Amino acid sequence: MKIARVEHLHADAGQRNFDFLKLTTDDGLVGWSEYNESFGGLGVSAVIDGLAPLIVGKDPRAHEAIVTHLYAVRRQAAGGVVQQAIGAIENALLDVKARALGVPVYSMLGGPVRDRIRAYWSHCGTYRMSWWKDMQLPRVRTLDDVVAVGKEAREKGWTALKTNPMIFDVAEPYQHAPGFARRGAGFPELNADRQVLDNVRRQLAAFREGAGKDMDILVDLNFNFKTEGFLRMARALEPFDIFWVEIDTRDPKALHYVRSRTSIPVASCECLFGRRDYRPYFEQQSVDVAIIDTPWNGVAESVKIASLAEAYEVNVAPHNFYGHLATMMNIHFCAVVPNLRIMEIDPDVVPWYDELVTVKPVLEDGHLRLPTGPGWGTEVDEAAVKAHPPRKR
Amino acid sequence: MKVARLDTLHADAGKGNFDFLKVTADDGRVGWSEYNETFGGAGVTAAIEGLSALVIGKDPHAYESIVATLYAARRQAPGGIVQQAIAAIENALIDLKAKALGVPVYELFGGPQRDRLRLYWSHCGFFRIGLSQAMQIPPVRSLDDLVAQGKEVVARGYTALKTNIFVFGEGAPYVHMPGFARSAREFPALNAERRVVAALRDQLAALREGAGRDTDILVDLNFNFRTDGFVKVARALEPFDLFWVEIDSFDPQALHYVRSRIPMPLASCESLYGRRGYRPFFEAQAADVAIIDAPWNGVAESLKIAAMADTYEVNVAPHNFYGHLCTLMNAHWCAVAPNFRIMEIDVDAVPWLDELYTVKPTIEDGHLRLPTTPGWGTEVDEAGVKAHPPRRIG
Repeated sequence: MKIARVEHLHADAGQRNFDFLKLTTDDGLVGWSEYNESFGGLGVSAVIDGLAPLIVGKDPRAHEAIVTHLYAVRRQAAGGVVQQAIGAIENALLDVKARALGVPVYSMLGGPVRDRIRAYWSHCGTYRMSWWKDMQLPRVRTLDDVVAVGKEAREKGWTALKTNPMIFDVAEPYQHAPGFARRGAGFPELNADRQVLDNVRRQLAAFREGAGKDMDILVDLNFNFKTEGFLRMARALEPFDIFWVEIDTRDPKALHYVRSRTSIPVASCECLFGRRDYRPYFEQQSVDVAIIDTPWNGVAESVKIASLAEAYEVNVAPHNFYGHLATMMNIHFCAVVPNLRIMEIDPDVVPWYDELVTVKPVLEDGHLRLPTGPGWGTEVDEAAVKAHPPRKR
Repeated sequence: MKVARLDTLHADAGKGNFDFLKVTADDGRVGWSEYNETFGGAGVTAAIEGLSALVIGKDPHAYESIVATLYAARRQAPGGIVQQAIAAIENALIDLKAKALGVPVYELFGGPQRDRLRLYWSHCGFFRIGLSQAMQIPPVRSLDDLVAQGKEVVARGYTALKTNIFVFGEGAPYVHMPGFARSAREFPALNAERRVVAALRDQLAALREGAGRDTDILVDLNFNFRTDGFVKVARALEPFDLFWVEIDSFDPQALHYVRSRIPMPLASCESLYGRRGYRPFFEAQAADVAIIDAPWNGVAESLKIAAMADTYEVNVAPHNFYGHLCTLMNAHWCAVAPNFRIMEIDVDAVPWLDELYTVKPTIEDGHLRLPTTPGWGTEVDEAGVKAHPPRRIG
């Protein structure tokens, strides 16, 4: 079996695009992966195109040899967009190989160790505040709206939700995301000022009111502060019985410092690439939960990162804010790693979201079921992708 | 598919026994692993039997789930014999799964990076000194015999050899192995006395003379010294252009100290269990090559250790001084690990070794050819095993 063709497809996802890689073999087998150009990933398709000649003609079953080769030819620009491209290729190779063997990917990786995966409603309220128009969602503008979303999460059977800091006491409420230079104050200083602290306290009180005492609430601070600000924010969140506070920082020692001074478990690392990036965070005891982006790293590499984390008695969780195919890829990852904490999923999506794949993930009572078909257990519906062409961004 | 039964089989290996685990599924499929009770492993069979109730009725495809359960069930006594038992089970389950899918084991781990593996002739001269009768192999009695042994290594196509410490000229020649209480002198002090250092230098001069300048020579000091002795001996070996010196120490910082003060690469870690056992050695920059015993750790866990080593830019090599099935089990993970250094093999073996297996490894020009048939690529020949019943091991 040899790889004959490398193609990528793109679909409109409302506030962004979804990107898919398709590998076809000489005997007609197809392997898919989902990747993403929209958040820091612009250029991944071009990098994939550059690597394609090194893949065509290779046996996809030896995916470790292919990935080792791709890493070597881009060794001088490791990580970043290059790794996102290699991750996309690795994931499509895994799908081809598992399909050739007639087994789900998790079986090829030695699993499963579980048959259902607890999920949390991610960007809860966030998309409804920032992207309601692009994504055709009900709008969140007020704290009352937040109470209602919390209630909705409980009523729909979710056991956990994650939200992001929002500012309400202004004419046009907005998500506080200065770490990505989004609208509003705070960029480029990245400080936790009184207004932000006050707003986030009120936001979490509203979520707790709506979701009730049994809901686990996670808060994602992303890259929006620096060490001092992260610690102030984490301490402000302590009264709200938080499941984890998510903090992205490039300094493992600084993160260890924050973690050692708050009572809330710390999750981090979603923007790291490969075992070599994660290692200092483990050595510094920086995190309770290491978040791994499997579309970026590749599912096989992600399992290696998880096994490294396990040696440090650290849990892992997937970074999963993409389409159904990425959710399926992450389900396979979560099915195999013993040290899983919880899985992210975005329930707020564009109306045509389900059309883009042939099989959608099964969600029951806030938990995901493992697929049983070969490969990822789903494929991209090319006609539906064509019906929703990507927007120029 | 469910696991229906676990059986253990044992065969005479001359220098001890070879031990095999046979896992049979409800559809009649069989998975094999080789393990070893002879070197520190007495009791593994009993540990396997104790765990078997947790394996029977389980789907071998989900071997990670089974191994996670076994680890948890014995969490209070991890490592050691317990881990050797878990690994034997893991390895047999992997064989069963690969056979059910009709692929070689390396396909379950991402496919091969290479189709031949460079070998070194291990225990070169060792078995011929003390065990030539038991193993029915030619004896080594003198330094001249060692020169001849070096020539034989080259004549048989090997590009590397590894030796231990031999003492000639004090009565019957013997292997200096106080770390395992095998030689009365220097045990339990484990000091590097002048006469031992001198004997090792004579030995390496003889092997270099016989093997020539193009053969890589490795020296295994095992656990036979303490920190100062390891430094002293390794420095004394500088003129012999060694590929690696192998040193076992349970202190990662001590090993880092030794490595930073000797002129050649250092290999170690063959007696460690699991990623948690290896981690402090990687963090302390203790070794150039981490040796992994796949029969003890399990092939899946061994690849996790190798992947961890890779993040520290450290190479790995298999601990492989067992029978043919172990050699092939090691070949599968060595084919997959990008950071593979070189593979151990015992060329000197009892004349009936081949009879114990249905397929023997293919060796050409000192390299092992990767098998291409399902599972490990060989099975245990039960009639052959029955014809060579195990010895009683003290």
